[in-house]
Amino acid sequence: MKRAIFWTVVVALLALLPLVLRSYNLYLLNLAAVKIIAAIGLALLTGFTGQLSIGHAGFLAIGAYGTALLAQYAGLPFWVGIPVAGLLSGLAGFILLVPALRLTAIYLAIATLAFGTAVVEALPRWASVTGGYQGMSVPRESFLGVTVTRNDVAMFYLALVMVVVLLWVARNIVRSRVGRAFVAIRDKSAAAQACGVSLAKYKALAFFLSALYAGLAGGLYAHVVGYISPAEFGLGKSIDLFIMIALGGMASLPGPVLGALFLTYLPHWLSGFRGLQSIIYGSALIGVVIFMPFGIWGFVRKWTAPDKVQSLPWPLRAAVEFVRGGGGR
Amino acid sequence: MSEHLLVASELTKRFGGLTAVDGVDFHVDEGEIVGLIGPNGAGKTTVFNLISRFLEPTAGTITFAGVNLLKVPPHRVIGLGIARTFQNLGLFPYLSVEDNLLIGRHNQFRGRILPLALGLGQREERAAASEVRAMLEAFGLGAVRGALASMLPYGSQKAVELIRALMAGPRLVLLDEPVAGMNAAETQAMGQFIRRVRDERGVTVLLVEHDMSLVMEICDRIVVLDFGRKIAEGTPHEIGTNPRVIEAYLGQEVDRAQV
Repeated sequence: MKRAIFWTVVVALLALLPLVLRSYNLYLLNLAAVKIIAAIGLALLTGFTGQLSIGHAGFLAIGAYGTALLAQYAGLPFWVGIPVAGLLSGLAGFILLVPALRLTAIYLAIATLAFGTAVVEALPRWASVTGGYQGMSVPRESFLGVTVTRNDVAMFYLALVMVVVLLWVARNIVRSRVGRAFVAIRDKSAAAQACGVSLAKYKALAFFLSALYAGLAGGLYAHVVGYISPAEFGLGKSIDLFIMIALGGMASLPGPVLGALFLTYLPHWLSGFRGLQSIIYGSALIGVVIFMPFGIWGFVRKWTAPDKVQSLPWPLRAAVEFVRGGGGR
Repeated sequence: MSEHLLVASELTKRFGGLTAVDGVDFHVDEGEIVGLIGPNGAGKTTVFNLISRFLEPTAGTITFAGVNLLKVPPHRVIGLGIARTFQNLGLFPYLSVEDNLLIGRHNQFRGRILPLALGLGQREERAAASEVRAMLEAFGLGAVRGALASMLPYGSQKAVELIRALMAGPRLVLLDEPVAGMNAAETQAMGQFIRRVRDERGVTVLLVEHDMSLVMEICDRIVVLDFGRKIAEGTPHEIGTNPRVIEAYLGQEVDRAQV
């Protein structure tokens, strides 16, 4: 109960941000929200279920283009278009199930890479519909009389709702038998099967959920930026997503959130150090990999483990225990 | 003869040119503790993997409680009532003991994915968690419930894995080297544990083990394999005095006259 109140207050405070933040800062937060949603999806697949994917930007593309095309050609409003495009992306996730039932680790990663590349290659070739390499603008939409597409304040609220709901859903899944089955498949698939976990069923579910999240993130992205082109969904994006979850801690839910925020703001803060930017960025990544093998969240968990917390003075200990309890796996 | 719980007949498994299991016949009756022994490479673990359906036999049949096991995919085996442990530990190292045991009863969960995603699985989770607690306390391991499986001492991990196998309420458990790497005291404790499982819960046990003291003490019947073939079967006493078994383990006595 206490925890529910705590999170309600957090969300309420976040909802007040448009009162104090300038439009550009809201825009950055909206981009962070897109990454958070996609990263949670990838964490479910790679972090929890152990299925490596470096083609996830393909699902972002399906969600973004799906949303834009559904708006343009079917006249669907964004609140229908984004979920429908997300579901389409989720169904496309089953395509990756075919290699995933036969391949593991790096071999599966190669198959997913091929998928991501295929999507980005296919989009411009269907130029009459997708606008080719130039891309396409997302039809401007309004909701209750307010233009929402490219409206940073309106998109901030949509992004906030999506992040909160999708994070909550992911948490419910991770803490259920489904989440346990995911981890079981990741760690010891033979033992998982002996316990009654169907590899085919749960891998299918992981790919579906993960692609659904990426697709929803793509749909949100389309309306946040208002203009999409194939180049934005290339291999680099897929690798960025992977770095986010590796950095944040991939077998957790706070991990992808932290990783996505980190990768949104770090390049932004570093933009002042021209030339040094890549060096600092690269060093930071290497540092995290060496000193925090389980990511930022793993590091936090380690230093707030019960035996370490015992020695802290009371107010600090109480605070850490409160936050820890909500972290989950 | 048809009321045996588990029957393997003419069971054969070839890996390329190697015949790991060669026309083996054996059965396990309800309520028995049966030992499957033999020197390294005799095919014991292969037999387990055939029963678990991780491997497809080259020839032969396996039936369990009248059901043709060869028609069943690996993840359905536990639903028929066969649970197992693994030679190199099948615990999930990054999950708590409690979560490990919850996976052991994975099949008992009824909640569908959509309600689960909307947070409606709480009641079932709580019921399952209290079942796990009761089980751990029954075996004196209540204190380790929240610990990461990989943090437990080795002997406790083996015990937790056996308890996990019981979570699904199986009729038969397959134990692959339950006391490998244990000292004498731990072996003794595990032996009592296995007996308790059979006596109190009526669970039939088929175990592979190299530790002869354990096998001789707790098994009702022993099946001996050597190079994939069954070379003997009988009570511990019969096996202990069987010349073919002694030969398989210690080698043939050299006839000095022929040297």
